[in-house]
Amino acid sequence: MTLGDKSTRVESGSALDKSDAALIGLLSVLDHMVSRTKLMNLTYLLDNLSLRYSGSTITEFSYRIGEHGPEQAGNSIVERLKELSERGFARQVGGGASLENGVSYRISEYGDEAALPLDSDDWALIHSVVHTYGSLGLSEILAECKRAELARSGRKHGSSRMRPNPKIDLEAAVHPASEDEEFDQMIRAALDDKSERVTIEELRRQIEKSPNL
Amino acid sequence: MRNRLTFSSGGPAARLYRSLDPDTRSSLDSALDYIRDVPYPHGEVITTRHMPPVTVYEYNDGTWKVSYGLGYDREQRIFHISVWAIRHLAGS
Repeated sequence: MTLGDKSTRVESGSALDKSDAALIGLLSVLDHMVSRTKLMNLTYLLDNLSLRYSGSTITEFSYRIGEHGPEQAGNSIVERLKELSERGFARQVGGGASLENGVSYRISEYGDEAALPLDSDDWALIHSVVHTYGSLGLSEILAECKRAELARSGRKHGSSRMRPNPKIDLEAAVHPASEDEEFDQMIRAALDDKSERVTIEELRRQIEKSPNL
Repeated sequence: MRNRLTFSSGGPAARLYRSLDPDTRSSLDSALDYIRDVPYPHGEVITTRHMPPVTVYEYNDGTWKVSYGLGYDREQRIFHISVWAIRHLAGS
């Protein structure tokens, strides 16, 4: 599937792998121009958050945190961003020989983001990262990256794949012991409940009309 | 467009909501409005845990604990928040 006229034609987001989709997802939620360095750092923080909450990263990029952020990931992310721009998913600004550090990206208005291979939990984490770090300056984001704990192994996109830092107690992070079995039973019952759903506005209207419900 | 927050009409979360006195319901409304605006994990306020096959999102401000699920509407770019369970932890 392609979108747009001949000059703006891009592939559907479903043609992307999850690493590429995460980059486009970040650009989509940011919805403004962002420097390549900041985007790389946000991608690192996204993977760090995903690792903590789900036990695995969203992308298959690898990372080595150096003085200027996740260095090793940079090369592969740079390659992916270049290709995504060429395929019409992102718009690149800058990038001349003398502007090596001045490259920025924003989401393309012609992309088909709805088809990206990301599930609701992935989108929640992308929104979380943009909410938490999106408005921070580069030095503040870099400080957050240095605080984050990740390691690496394997290979993908010409670089190593990440694995959790053994210092993280993943089992505790992913499956924390339940302290409220009764509450968990309520959740399980709600999951099986197929009855009609009511919006919070409708619920409030019902109470206004019949306060003694 | 604002995120959409729903209850099961006959479920315990809706029953609890209906049963509250106005002041306590106002306190819960503040928590629900917060969840509606920022439903994804951040800080210590909203976290997740897995209860296969779903991810449970949990808000806890010390007064209210609210568990819910998230679905992302890619076209409208909003979250559909399904409230599953609510617990009043402390008097407001």
